[in-house]
Amino acid sequence: MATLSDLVAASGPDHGRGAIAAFEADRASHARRWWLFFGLGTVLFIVAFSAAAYIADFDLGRLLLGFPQMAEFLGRSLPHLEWAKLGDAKTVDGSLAYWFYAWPKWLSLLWESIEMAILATALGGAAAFLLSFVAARNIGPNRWASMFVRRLLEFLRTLPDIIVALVFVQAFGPGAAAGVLAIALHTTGALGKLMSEVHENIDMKPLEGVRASGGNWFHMIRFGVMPQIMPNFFSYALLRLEINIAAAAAVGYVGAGGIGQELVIAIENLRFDDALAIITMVIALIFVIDLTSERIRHSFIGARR
Amino acid sequence: MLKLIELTKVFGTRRALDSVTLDIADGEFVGIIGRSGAGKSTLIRSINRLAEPTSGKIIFGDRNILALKGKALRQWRADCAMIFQQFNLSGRLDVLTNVLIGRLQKRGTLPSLFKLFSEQERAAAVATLARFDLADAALQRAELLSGGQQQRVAIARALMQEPKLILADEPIASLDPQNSEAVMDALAAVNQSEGITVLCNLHDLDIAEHYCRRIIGMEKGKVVFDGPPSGLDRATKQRIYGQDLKAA
Ligand SMILES: Nc1ncnc2c1ncn2[C@@H]1O[C@H](COP(=O)(O)OP(=O)(O)OP(=O)(O)O)[C@@H](O)[C@H]1O
Ligand SMILES: [Mg+2]
Repeated sequence: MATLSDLVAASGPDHGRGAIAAFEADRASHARRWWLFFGLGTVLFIVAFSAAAYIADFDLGRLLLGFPQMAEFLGRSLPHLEWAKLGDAKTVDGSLAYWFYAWPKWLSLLWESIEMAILATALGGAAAFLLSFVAARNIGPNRWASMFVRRLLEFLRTLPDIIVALVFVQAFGPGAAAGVLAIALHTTGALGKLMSEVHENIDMKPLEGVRASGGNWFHMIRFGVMPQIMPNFFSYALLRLEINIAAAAAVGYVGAGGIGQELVIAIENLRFDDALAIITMVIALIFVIDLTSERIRHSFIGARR
Repeated sequence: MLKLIELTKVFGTRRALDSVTLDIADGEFVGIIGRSGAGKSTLIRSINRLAEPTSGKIIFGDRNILALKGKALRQWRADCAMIFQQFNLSGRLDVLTNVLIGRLQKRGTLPSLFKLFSEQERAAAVATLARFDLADAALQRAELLSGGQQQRVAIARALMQEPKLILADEPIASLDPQNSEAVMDALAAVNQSEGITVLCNLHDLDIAEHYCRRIIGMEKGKVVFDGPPSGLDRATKQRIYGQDLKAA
C-alpha cells in the first residue's frame, strides 16, 4: 500500500519540495488577503452602521420610552368585546359581528387587493421572464443589450412600489390601475434580476447542441434554457405573488386601490378598532396564502428530482 | 467536397490551428487523432463555426463558409451536424423533442417555439430512434438514459438535420467499450447507407484504425499525418502520441 510519504517520494527528484513550498506561500498570501478583506469589511460595517444610526437619530432611550405610548395606542385600538356576547348579532356592542360590522365590504376590498397582486405578478412576471434572458451574461444576444437591460432591471427594482404608486395616483387618478402598474414595475425588476442570475448558472451544453443544429437565439432559449429554469421561475413567481399581496394591501394607503384605502379612512376617522379588524384580516389572509403557496412551490422543486 | 485552406486559429498567443490545409471528399470516414491540446476540437468546431477561425478559408461546394451570416450560417450548421463528447442534449426534455431539435432550422421560429412539428417529422424521428433501438424511450426525459443511449439520440438528432456531413468531437470518450462500439457502429452505418461524410475526433488509436479509412494526425495545431491506417508506422504513432504510447 502506498503511504503518504511514498506519494511524496514518487513525485520527483526534489520530492515535490519546490511545488509544496510554492503552494504554501500561495496559500499564506490567500489567507492574508482574506483576513484583510474580512477585517476591512468589519471596520467598514461598524463605521457605516454608526453613521446610519447617528443620521437616523437612533436613540435607544427614546425608543424604550416610546413603548408605553405604543401600548396605549394598541390599547385604544382594541375592540370592546364581551365573552358572553361574542356570538351575538352585529347590533349588540361587544360581539365579534359588531367589531367586524363591515366585513362584506372589507372582504371584497381584500379580494380587490388579491386581484391587483395577481395581475401585477402576471404582468411583471411576463416582462421579467422576457427581459431576464437578455440580461443574463451567458445567454444575452449581445453585451450591450445585456448591460442595458441589467441596469434597467436594477433601476426598476430599487423604485419603492408605494412611492411609484403615489406618483401614478397623481398622474392617472386614484384606483387599482395605479397600484397594479407600480407593483408590476417593481416585480419586473426584482424577478428579472433574480431569474437572470438563475440563467447564469445553467448548463450551457444543451444550448450548444441547439446552436450546432442550426437553431437561432430563440430556439436556444426555448429548447436549451427553458427546460432547465421553468421550475425555478414558477417557484420564484409564486414567492413574488406572496410579497405582492402584502404590497397590494399597502399601496391602497396612497389611494391606489384595495383594502389599504379603507385602512387610511379608518385611521383618519380615529376608528382604531376598525383599523385593527382590517389589519387582522390582512394578516390572516397573508398567512393562509404563504402556507398554500409554500406547498405549491415545494411541489415544483420536488418535481425536479 | 470540403476544402480547408491554411486554416488558422489563435487563442491569445497559442496557435490552436496552424495553417491547416485539407481536402475531404464526399462520403469519407475520417478519423482525427492527436494528443490532448493538439487542436482536434478546435478544427471540428471551426468547420461549423462554433469557433471563429482567425484566418484561412473553408469552402464547401460553392459556399465560402467563413463569410456566412445569419440564416445562411444556421443553414450551414444544419448541413454539418455535430456530435459532442457530452452529448449536449437538453436533459429535461423528452427524447423525441431532443431529436426534433434537429428540425429547428427547417421551420419558422414561431411554430417551433410552441413545439409544433409536422406529423411527418415526428414519424421520421420515431423511425430513426427505432433504427438505434430507442423507440421505447421516445417519451422519457433524455437525462434518464445511459451515456451510450444519449449519444445515439444525439446521432438521431443529427440525422434529422438531413446533414451533408457529421462532425463528431470525441463521441465515445465518456463511454464504456460496449457503448462505444454501438455508437461507432451507428456512425459507420450512417456513413455507409446515407453516404454522409463523417469527421471524427478519437483518442483511441485502435478504434480509429478499425473504423476510419483515412486518418489525420495532428500535433500542436499542425497536420503531421494524412493517410490510410496502414500508413501509420511506429515512428509516426510515437510522434503523434509521444509518451502516451510508451505508457500504454
Ligand atoms: N476557448 C479557448 N480559449 C483559450 N484557449 C483555448 C480555447 N479552446 C482551446 N484552447 C487551446 O487551444 C489548444 C487546442 O485545444 P483543443 O481543445 O482543440 O485540443 P484537443 O486536441 O481537442 O484536445 P483534447 O484531446 O484534450 O480535447 C489547446 O492548447 C487549448 O488550451
Ligand atoms: Mg478536444
